[in-house]
Amino acid sequence: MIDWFTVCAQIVNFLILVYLLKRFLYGPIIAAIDKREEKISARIKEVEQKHLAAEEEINLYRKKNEDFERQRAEMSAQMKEETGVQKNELLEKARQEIDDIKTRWNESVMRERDVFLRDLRRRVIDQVYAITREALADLAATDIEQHIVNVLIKKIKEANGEKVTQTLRNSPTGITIATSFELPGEQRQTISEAVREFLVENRDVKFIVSKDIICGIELKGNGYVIGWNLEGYLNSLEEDFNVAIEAGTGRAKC
Amino acid sequence: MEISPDLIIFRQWGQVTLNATIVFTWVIMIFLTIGSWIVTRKLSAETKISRWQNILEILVTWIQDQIQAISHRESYQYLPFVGTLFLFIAVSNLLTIVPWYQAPTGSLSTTVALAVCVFIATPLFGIMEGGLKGYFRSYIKPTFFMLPFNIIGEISRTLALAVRLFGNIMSGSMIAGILLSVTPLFFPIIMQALGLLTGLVQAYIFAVLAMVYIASAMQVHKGKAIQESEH
Repeated sequence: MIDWFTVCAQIVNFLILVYLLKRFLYGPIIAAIDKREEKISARIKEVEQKHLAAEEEINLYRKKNEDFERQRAEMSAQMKEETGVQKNELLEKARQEIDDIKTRWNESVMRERDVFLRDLRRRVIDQVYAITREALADLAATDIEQHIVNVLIKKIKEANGEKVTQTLRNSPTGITIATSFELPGEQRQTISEAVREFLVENRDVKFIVSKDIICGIELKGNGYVIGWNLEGYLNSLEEDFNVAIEAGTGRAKC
Repeated sequence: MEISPDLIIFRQWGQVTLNATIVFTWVIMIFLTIGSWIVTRKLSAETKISRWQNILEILVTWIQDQIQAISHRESYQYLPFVGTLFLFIAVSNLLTIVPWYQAPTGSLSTTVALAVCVFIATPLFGIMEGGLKGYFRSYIKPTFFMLPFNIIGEISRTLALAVRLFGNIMSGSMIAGILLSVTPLFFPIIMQALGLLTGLVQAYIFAVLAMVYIASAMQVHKGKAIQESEH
């Protein structure tokens, strides 16, 4: 049953096969597996290193983020503070501007009031003058100018005295009769006679029309003045208007 | 029907005979070598590998795992010997499905040759591990009188190794042959299929037993080393 030559041949064959398989199978396969394991290990190591590096980066960026957040909070607080200061400044400025505008407005109102009053005064004068003239003409068939002249003559008579006469006599510019209207010759004559009769005898009387006199007549000489005009009444009326306007403005402010 | 492929002689020059055992052994050697060469000439160390490389890697690592499980040592030293035993016997048995093929393992000469290889390799590995003196001292353990029994045990297990493989493979062929003459239609196919399974199991058993013998030879030295370290 056992062929010893075959046994020997098979031993040799087996040993050759061991060598061949070691050369062509086990060696290359194990080398490939080892190489792959090395590669995988290297890759794992590389990944671990990258992971560590990534963690470091994460920590770095986390720290940066925290710093950034802290800086942002600080800047935000600073900005709020600056904004508050700026807001207060702006508010103060706005308040100042409002005050200025208010002042200017008040001044403007005052100016308008003055203009209005001046205009009112002029209109009132014209109106009063016209009404009075018409009333007197209707009632007594006389004009207002005549009444004014009469009032002056009455006052000249009342002012008769040594002191007045002395003052007027020494007047370097003479005696001036100023009226707000043109006096007719007859009335001039009447006034001149009254002056010579009751005040000064040998002095010329000069007649002028003055726009400064409001509906009236004045006798001037050496600082002495007698006369009558509407200015006093108008001043009183103006004061009443002023009081009324002030009261109205006060209510408007409230 | 021939009991052994040794009896199929193609050429003879005196004592030198070229029988079917040797010829089919060469066929298996060529098949294994060329197959390995074709696959391993383009090995890839990357993670993406070819299907055949994957199969061979699985096979080799499986053999390594088996060796490590038995010996508890690094497998590379024993892999060529034990792995070749397994691959040769397995391929030899699996090719029985090829018509006109005669499995070399069905020859007692082949199994004896393989058993002799194990018989020689066992003390060689033992000596490599523990030295000449250390190995042979294991034969007179626990007493000198155990020497003949140890030698008998060594020879008998080698003989058992050879006869077991031969008996299984030869019986498989015999049963297939007998059944072919009795019930030629169905049963031979089943027996052939069972023969493939038996062939693989026998290859595994032969390789594992070889590794167990080698491991036991080295275990003696290891036990001694442990005892010395404990003292």
